[in-house]
Amino acid sequence: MGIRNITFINASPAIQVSNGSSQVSIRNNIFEGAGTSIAINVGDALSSPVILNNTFFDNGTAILSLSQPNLSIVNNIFANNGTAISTTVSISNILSNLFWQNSTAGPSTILFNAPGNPDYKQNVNTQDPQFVNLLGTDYTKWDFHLKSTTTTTTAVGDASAGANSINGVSPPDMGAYGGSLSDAIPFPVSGLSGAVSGPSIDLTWSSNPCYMIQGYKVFYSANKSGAPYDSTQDAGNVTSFTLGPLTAPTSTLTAPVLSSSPGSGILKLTWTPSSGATGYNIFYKESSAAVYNPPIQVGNTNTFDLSGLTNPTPAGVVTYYDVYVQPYYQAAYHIAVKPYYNSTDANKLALVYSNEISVPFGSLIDGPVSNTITDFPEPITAIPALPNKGCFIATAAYGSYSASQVQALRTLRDRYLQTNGPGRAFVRWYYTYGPRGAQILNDHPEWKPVVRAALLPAIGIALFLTHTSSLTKILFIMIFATSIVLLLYRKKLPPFGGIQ
Amino acid sequence: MKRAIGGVLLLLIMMMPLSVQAAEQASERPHWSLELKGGIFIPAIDNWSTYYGRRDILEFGGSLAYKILRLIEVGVEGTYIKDKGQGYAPIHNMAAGNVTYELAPLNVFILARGVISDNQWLIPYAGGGWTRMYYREEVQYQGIVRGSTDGTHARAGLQIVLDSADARAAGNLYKDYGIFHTSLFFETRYTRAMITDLAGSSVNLGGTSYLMGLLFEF
Repeated sequence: MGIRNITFINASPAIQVSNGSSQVSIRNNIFEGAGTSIAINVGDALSSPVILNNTFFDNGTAILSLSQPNLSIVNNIFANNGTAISTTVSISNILSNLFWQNSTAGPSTILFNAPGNPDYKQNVNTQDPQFVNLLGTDYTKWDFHLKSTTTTTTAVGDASAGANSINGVSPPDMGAYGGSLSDAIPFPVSGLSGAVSGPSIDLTWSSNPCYMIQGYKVFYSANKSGAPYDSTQDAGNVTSFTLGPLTAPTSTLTAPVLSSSPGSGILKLTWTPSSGATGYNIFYKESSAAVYNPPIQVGNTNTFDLSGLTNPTPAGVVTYYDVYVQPYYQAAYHIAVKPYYNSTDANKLALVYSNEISVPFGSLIDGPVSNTITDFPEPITAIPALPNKGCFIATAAYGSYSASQVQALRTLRDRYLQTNGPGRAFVRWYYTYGPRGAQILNDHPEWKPVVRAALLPAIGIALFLTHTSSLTKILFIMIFATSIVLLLYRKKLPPFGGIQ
Repeated sequence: MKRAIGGVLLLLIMMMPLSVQAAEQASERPHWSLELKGGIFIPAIDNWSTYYGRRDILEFGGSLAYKILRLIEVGVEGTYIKDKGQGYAPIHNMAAGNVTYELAPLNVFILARGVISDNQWLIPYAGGGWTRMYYREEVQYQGIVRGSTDGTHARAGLQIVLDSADARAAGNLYKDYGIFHTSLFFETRYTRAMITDLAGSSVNLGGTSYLMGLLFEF
C-alpha cells in the first residue's frame, strides 16, 4: 500500500507500521510539528516499509525502528527534529537524505558525504534545505518547497528513485516535493496589490521563491468577484505587471423602491436592488431642513440602519426625516494571481488563487434616485392599538404576516412588481381589493385551505424568482421551453410502429 | 317623584294632536323614513383625551328605514366619525406622532315611533339593533390598520314634527316630493362594539352619541 501526498501535523504517531505489513510505501508526505512524538514507528521486524521523499520537520523522532533493519530511507529531508532516525539495529539502506539541524541525526552507521566530495548515494548534513516559508506559527501555512537558492536539489537526490516530477530532470529533488510521484502544484502567492495607471492597472505581488516557479498568471474579471475569472494573462516570471489597456464596462441603473421601519433613534431602511448598481448612497435630512446631509455610502447592500436620529422630546414633539436612496455604479476589476511550474501545463498551476483585489476603474456613475420616504425613528402605536384585519389574502390564509410563504410574496412584490409600471398597478389594485378578500377569508376560515392551495403556484414562482441565481432561471426556462417543443413535436409523430 | 310625574304629564300634553292640518292625507301614510343627522360621539375608551385632546368627536350620518307598520320601521344607518391626535411611543412611553382615527358604524335597526295621532307634533322613539363597526387608524408615515368588529346599539330620541311650523311649506313638500312629514329630532345612541387590541385587552370601539337632525317621512 502507498501513503502519499499527505501532510501530518502534530500526529502521534503519524504512521504506525506493524503486524508484518509488507510493501508499504511512504512517499511525498510531510510530517511536521509533532513536538516530542514519533512521526513513523516501524513496530516489528516483519514490516519493511520504503520511506521515500518525505519531509520531517520539528518532530520528536522522525523514524523509529527498534527491530527492523531492512528499511529503505531515501531522499528524505530531516530538519529540526529531536532525533531523525532512532534505531537499535543496523538499517541497511539510508541513502541520499538531507539532515539539517536535528539534535541527533541517527545511528553512527549513517554515512555522510565528505565536504567537496559529493556522493549522492550517501547522506548530507551540511546544507540548509532552504524551505520556501516557515514563517509564523500556523503549520498549515508553511511551505516545504525548496527555494531557488537551495543546493539540495542537485546535490544529493538519488536518481534511482525516479526523476523529479516537476521538471522531469534527474536527480530528483529532496523531500516531499521531489521524486516521480510528488505533487507538482506550487503554493499560492500573497500580497497582491494594484493601482490604476491611466488605462491600465499596475499589479505587484509577493514572490513565490520556490526554485521551480517559472512564472505567474494574472486572472481578472470586470465587475465579478471570484473564480472562475473571465480573462487570463501570462505575466511571466515577474512580481509586478501592468494589466491593460482595459476598458471600463458601463451599466444602466434603475431606481430602487425604498421602504423603512422605525426603531429607537433608528430607521431601518430596505430597498429593492437597482440593476447594475455597485453601491448606494443614503441621503437624509430632517423634514423641516432645507438641505440634505452629506450622503452615507453603504456599499452594495439593500438594507441599512440609519441611526443617531432624534427621538421624541418629553413634550411629545417628533422629528420627521426625509430619506431617499441613490444607486451608483463604479466599474471594478477583480484580480488574482497564480504561480505556475509550467505555463502550458494546467496541472502545474497553483490550485489556490492569491488574495483577490478589487480595483475601481473608470468614472463613478450615479443612478436614478428612489422614492423619498418620510418617517419618524420610533414606532408609534395608535390608541387604541387595533389589529390590522385588512391585510393581504395570503396573510389571512397562512395566519401570520411573518409566514415564510407571505414573506416570499412580499419579496416578489418588492423585487419584481414595484419595479415596473404594470407591477405597481397590480399592487395598487391588490391593495384596494385585497383587504376585502382577506376580511371575507377571516370571516370564513373554512376556505383557508382552498385559498392556500390556490396560492401555491404564486408562492412557487415567488420562491423560484427570489431564491435562484440568474443562471438557474435561464436554465429552467431553456429546459421548460425545450420540453414544450418536444411535447409538440412528439404529438406530430406517428404512433409507435407506424409509417409516416 | 313629583318631578318625574310632571315630566311624563308634560310629555303626554306635548304629544296631543294639534289642530294644524298635516300634509298627510287620511287615506295615506308614509312608508319610508330618511334621517340626516350630526352631533358628537364620546368614545368609551378611558384615556381618549390623553391622545386626542378632546373627549368628544364630531359624527355625521344618515339612515333609511322602511315602515313595516305605522309605528315600527326597520332600516340601515351609517355614520362617520373622525378624530386626529397623537399615538403612543412605547420606547419612550409618551404620546407622540400624528394619528388619524376613523370609525364608520353601520347599524341595522328596528325602531318604534310613538305615533298616536296623525297630527301629533312630538313623537318619542326608541330602537336598536346590530352594529358593524369599521375602523381605520393611520399613523402618519408609519402605516394604516383597518378592520371591523361586530356589536350592538340602542338609541332613543324625540322628534318634533315641523309641519305645523309652516303648513304651506309642508304641503308643498308633499306635493312636490311626496314627503308627508318633516321633523327635527334629538337622539342619544349607545354603541357597544368590542374588539381585542394588540395588547390582548378587550376594547369597546363604541360610545355614546348625541345627535340631532332632520327626519323626512315619505
